[in-house]
Amino acid sequence: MSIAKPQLRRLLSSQIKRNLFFATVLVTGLTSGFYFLRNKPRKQDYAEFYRTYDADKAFQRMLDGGYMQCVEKRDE
Amino acid sequence: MASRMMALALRHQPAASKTSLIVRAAHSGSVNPHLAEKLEKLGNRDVVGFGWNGEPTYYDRPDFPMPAIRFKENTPDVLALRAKEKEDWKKLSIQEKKALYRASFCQTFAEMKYPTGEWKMHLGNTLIVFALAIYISLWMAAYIYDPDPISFDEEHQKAQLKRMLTLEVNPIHGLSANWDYENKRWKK
Repeated sequence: MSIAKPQLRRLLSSQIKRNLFFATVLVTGLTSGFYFLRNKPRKQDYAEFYRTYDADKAFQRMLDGGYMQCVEKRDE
Repeated sequence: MASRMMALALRHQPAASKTSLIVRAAHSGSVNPHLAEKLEKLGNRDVVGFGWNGEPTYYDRPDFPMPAIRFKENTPDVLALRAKEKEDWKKLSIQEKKALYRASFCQTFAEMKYPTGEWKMHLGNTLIVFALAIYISLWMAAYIYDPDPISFDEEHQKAQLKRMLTLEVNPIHGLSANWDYENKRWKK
């Protein structure tokens, strides 16, 4: 039974270096993943929606439905 | 008084050596049956270290590999091997090395760390409890709870949905995003 000689000295130091490296990689990867896959498309969706949104028509629709308790019709 | 001071002094010794135990027993012999019992259990074994709390106990612990005492009592053959151990180790056969190990230790690391399969019992018990919980909640729903309020029936739910669509709840990613307002129907 012959296995490779394990590292005997400076174990904590090498552990810390390895952990720092993986932590940096993981954090960078995950945050940029979140940003590019979630945040950016969401902002674009919101921008698209409000670019062509007719607020007055929507409000009139809500009034017609009779769901407004404080206002009867749109005053100009 | 003298015996108590002796006991206090002994407490500060680094190792629970057999002599210290004997001294303690000698000074408080009749009042303390536990020490006598301990000495009896110890038998012929060597005390080889402090252990994890100073007591002369043996246990196989992967986190604390050096118990305070040897596992087996000293017999003539073991003592002979010990004498041989003091010379060149290359002269020891593999059987002798194993015998020396087993004299000092009960199990090898591989043996003490071997998986027991106990997790299956825990998983099974957890699942049994989950199943019981589901049974109980179904029984509660069937026999204990009051009937649903009227707002739960079909007509009321439809009216609530209509209100949510008209007020444009979540119009970008949610509910009203799937409603086609021009044609008054769900988007494909």
